[in-house]
Amino acid sequence: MRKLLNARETLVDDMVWGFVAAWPGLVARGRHPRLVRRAVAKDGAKPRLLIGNGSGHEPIAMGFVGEGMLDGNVVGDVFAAPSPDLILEGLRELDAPGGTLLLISRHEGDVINGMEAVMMAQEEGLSVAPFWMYDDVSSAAPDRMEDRRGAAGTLFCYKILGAAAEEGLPLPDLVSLGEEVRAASRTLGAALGPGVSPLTGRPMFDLPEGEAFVGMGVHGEPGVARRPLTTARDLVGFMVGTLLADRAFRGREAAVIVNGAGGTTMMELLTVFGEAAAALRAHGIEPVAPVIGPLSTTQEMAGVSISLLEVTPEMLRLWRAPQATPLFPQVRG
Amino acid sequence: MSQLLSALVDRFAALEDDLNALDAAAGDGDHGTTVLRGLRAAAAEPDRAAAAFRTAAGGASGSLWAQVLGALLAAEGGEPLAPALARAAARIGQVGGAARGDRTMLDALLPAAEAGGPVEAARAAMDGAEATRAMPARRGRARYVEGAGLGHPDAGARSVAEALAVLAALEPAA
Repeated sequence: MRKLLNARETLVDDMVWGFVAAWPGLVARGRHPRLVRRAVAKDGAKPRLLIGNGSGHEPIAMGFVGEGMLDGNVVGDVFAAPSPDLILEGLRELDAPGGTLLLISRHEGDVINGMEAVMMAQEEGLSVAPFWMYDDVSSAAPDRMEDRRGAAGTLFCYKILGAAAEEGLPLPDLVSLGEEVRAASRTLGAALGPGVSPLTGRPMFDLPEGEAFVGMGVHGEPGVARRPLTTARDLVGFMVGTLLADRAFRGREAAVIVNGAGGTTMMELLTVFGEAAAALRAHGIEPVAPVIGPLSTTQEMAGVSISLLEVTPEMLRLWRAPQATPLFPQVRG
Repeated sequence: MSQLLSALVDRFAALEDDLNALDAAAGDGDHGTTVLRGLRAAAAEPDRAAAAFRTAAGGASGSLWAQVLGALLAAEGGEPLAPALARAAARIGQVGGAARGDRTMLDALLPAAEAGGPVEAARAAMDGAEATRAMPARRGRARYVEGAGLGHPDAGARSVAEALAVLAALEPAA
């Protein structure tokens, strides 16, 4: 395996250690070593945002802890949702009068362990609300929207809700804003090749060369379409068409995320953005405030996803608001 | 130490490979290993058995199965079984968003909760688990795989039914 690690047993803790060592002014370990939190907690009257997730997908979510985004991240084992007890530790540590919103990207383990943690926290008298995020158009039909998986478009929720919470928007209003953002977000991905599991040293699934698997999940969950791999223009045109068929955009502007799965180069991601921008303009939609890069990855998996958010002026303002996290790019444009 | 916990560890050590094989038809193929790991941890810390199970088993199924274990231990402690199972089923449905017929452990647990005593509950759960053979998955990772597991009982439903059978076998003959 061509990976620089110490030992299978310590690889997640080694990574968290490096992360907090790199930016001690921004982030710190919590009482539990698998909790990453802001170095300076925000005013306790403002709601806090926590998320738990399996590791191996960095920089999401640990890298997005900081002023203007997340207050904490519970870091699970590789590709495994953290336990309810560990998430509960995080909820206890962040607890403050403004309450905590537990963001849950809709994957089976994250939902079940997150909801169990929320119930245990509420039984202890903590003010906690769950918020489910889902945006992957390939994972369920539009009439079963709530069965969809969370993908890179969940970053619209992280960023916009994080900025709103920083301004002190109360917890119930934060949930309403999240529902609006979620309803206006769509993501579609395409896989070109698997990542290698740091636990086993083996590819996580097999794909034949020369084909793109549109809609495949990051752990190899089957996709919706196989397409011969020809040009970026061909694949991106198909993906943007599928996204716009899923949601009829009434607005004229869409915020865009082009996410790399880990093994796709910036050269390719910029090419993909260019093609997506052209395809959107052909449909009368202007791409604004793009974020481009490997943000939600699966090791060295080759692939890309395109996320669109039909923005309101308020969403766009919050999406562009300054933040101070170690690894989320500053939104410009 | 709880007689039930040590009986569950013995029984699930024998079932480990079978449950793994059932799970492999639709998922990671580790359900038997996961439950056994959880039960051993629970037996080592009987005062906080459900929490020990949840932590050691890990994953989504660990959280859900811990609810069933909690209900079985409450019944061993003298609580009526049916309402304890019904509470566990309600929480599992709430947390996991599954319903009867989705090919999950609820397909064993809900009939058991309606059945009365341990022997009837175990029988109803086993019938419920068998009925999952014909159910396509709507929950869990298996739901992304067309027809995953069809023809085999769901591993989670089967393991719940086996656990109830262990409880029923402990009951002193009337």
